[in-house]
Amino acid sequence: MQTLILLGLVAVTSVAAYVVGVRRLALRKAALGPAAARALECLGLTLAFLAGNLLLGFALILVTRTALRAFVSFYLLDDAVLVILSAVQALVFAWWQTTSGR
Amino acid sequence: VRVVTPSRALGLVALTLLLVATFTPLDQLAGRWLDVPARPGRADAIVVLGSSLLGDGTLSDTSLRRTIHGIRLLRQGLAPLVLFVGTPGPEGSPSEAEARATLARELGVPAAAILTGTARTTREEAQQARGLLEGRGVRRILLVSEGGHLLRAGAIFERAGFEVLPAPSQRRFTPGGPERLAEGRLGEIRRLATEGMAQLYYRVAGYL
Repeated sequence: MQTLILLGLVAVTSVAAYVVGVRRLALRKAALGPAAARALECLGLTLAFLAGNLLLGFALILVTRTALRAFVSFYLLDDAVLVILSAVQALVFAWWQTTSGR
Repeated sequence: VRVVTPSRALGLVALTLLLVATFTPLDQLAGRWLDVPARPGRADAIVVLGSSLLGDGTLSDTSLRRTIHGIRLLRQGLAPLVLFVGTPGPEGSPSEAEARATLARELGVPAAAILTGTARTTREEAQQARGLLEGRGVRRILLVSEGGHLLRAGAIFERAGFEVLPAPSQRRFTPGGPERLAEGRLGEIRRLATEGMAQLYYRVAGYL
């Protein structure tokens, strides 16, 4: 239950950001929904890129092991950095879509 | 404007998975499913599975925990012999198994009771153990690794002809234990997912 404190913190700062956005920055309330949807898209793209990176990595390791007879551990793919890089890929792709008007 | 797009749906799935993995006891439920409990008993040998060496050639935390557990089982008189297996060392440095053997000797284990072998995967470890122990008439072994790894490792060693008594150096499922922090839960789910993928690979490859 203690971990729920983290959700509480995020909820409070989200409400604060909403208040600052509406009152100080004059952001449109109606634009919040599409913004959240866009964030979900980025998250989905991150998952898609991560799956692609993992599948490619798995295939490359298999080929290296069988064709080149060289050992590469599958645990190489068990790296949090791959998630971060996938998120960067997703952000660039999402912004590319935005700047292309799609 | 489409309300539900594939990437949006995938994002919702990702967010739900993240929240469930981080803020629910899913790690404990998954751990209970994968964890192999200890089955203590007398055996012909103790086999301590490898983990990894750090960059400076010292044992990783997991490797050290397994090694100490193997030494404790030997000291309890549950087997007359301990086999340390592990990864090769960096160029010109001792292997993981040699580093473990050195530690065991320093802790008072007789050199005659120690065997070492080098392997890079669980399957190679089983093959290595068979080659080293078969000639000594070893059939029943205490197999040391984490509870989550022993499901796959135990099956592989049984397939190599051993009777396996699981001896987990660490349990994944700890009923009544202290609550994990969110990051710890996520890490545990990641470890379980990795082991799940390894099990899938071993089944598809016909190793299990």
